Amino acid sequence: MLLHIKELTVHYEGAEALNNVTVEVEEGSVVTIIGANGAGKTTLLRAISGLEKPVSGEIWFKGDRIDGMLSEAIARKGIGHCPEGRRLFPFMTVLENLKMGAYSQKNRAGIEENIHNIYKRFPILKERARQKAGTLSGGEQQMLAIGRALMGRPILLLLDEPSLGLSPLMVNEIKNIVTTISKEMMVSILLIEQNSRMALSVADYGYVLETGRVRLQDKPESLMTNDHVRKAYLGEEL
Amino acid sequence: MNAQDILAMVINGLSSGLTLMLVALGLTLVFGILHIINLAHGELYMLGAYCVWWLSELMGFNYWFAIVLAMILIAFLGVLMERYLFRRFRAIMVPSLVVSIGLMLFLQSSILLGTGMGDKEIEPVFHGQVTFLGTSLSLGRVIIGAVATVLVIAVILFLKYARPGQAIRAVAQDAEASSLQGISMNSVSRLTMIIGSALAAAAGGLLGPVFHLDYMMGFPVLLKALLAIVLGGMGSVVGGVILGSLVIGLVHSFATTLIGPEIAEIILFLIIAFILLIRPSGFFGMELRT
Ligand SMILES: Nc1ncnc2c1ncn2[C@@H]1O[C@H](COP(=O)(O)OP(=O)(O)O)[C@@H](O)[C@H]1O
Ligand SMILES: [Mg+2]
Repeated sequence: MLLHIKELTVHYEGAEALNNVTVEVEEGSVVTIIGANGAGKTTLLRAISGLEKPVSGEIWFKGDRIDGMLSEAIARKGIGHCPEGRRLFPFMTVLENLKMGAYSQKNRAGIEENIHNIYKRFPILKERARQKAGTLSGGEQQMLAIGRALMGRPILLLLDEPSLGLSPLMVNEIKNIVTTISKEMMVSILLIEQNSRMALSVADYGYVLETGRVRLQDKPESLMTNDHVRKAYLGEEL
Repeated sequence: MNAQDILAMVINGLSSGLTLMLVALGLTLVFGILHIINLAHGELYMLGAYCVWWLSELMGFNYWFAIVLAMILIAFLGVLMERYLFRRFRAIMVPSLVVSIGLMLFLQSSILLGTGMGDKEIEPVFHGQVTFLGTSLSLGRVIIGAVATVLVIAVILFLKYARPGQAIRAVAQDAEASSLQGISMNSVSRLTMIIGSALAAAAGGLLGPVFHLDYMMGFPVLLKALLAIVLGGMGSVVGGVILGSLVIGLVHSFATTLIGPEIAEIILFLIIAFILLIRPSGFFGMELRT
């Protein structure tokens, strides 16, 4: 098991955000967590990256326990995190943002090669290389955020609502990007989405998070035929 | 008053603005990274001057070598301050202010107890005047301005192009996102304190031969540096500080010559209060980090 979250509970000043959540990500797979606004999805990713300290539970990555480690150490272990709201460095150029993503990489030639690969995958980033990240459009920013996370050569990539605020065309593009990263770059992915249809269509396994608890978990095909999921998450009339 | 007098005031103003920039740049970098207003920052300037005095006047080292050594020693002090005080109080406003005031008083009284009240002077290395466009200028002032310029440019280039410098900018823009890239908050804080302390020490060493040393000399400089930062727009990592420092240097120089040194400081504060009334967020207010 690449990532194993065991019975994780996270509180914000008394309020419970996650309750006894257990999630697993197998090497090479795309796992998605769907859930409504406020379900605790972002909190889960933040806890994995060490940005929130759990009250109880454990997080294991590649056989090491990582809860309690510093965020930068977790990043260096191979967890890339594309955070909610993208969180680019707005006054730095596109190229500088990409280079910051490679901060843990020591090999200069490797970094250059990585930038080259990312430009090939996202040609728009090459066009905008010298532009400040804050001036990019929403879709471009999301590509830069994913590109920056890939610059660290992650083993596992955490994506927090990459399709949020994007046009249907861009959402489809994000879907293709997720597939590419998983299949061609062999990066395992934990994808968080409110766009449940898109998320379930790319994932190998899915969890449904409701008010901080795992309500359902199954293969996407089964989740998509589940009455509760169809009604609450896919907007279907039963 | 003729053109020569004005030129002399401008050059003097630029020279003192540039040394002020050394102090203000460090103060704003530390604020941008640690979110602490280090009120003891002026004492790093004061200690820099005392260190150069000690090394050059008492130990007999060459003046420039003494400045470099003082920068290293004060940078080491900055590292200790970051490691044992500021790191715990990162972004906690009131306690960090109390800690830095305490540190300020501690450093002042240590110097007072350690060296006594008597007059201390650093022998100027450069004497005489240079003539520029028909204006006679103090050679010492010109050289101080030139060295400060070189240091400021070096820091700007470091922040722009060096990887650790870029990490400082990244943390100032988004500390959490930086940690997700594997950037160590603690190393960036330490590096920022090293740069800030060394620059303040350099300013103290450069201006040492111009003034008498005094254990209280850091405080007025701290105030001016804070003004320069506020004027430039608190938080814009470099941008505003440069302009803010130059404005303050120039205003101070003009007020000193035209009205007299006693009221120059009051005039300075009044003019800056007036500028801030018109532009409450400073010149570069729109580039605030968040
Ligand atoms: N910094 C915070 N302080 C207090 N409560 C928070 C904070 N962040 C999130 N919450 C609360 O925790 C719950 C889960 O939030 P979040 O993980 O952001 O959900 P999601 O990403 O699924 O929308 C929500 O009820 C939210 O209001
Ligand atoms: Mg969220």
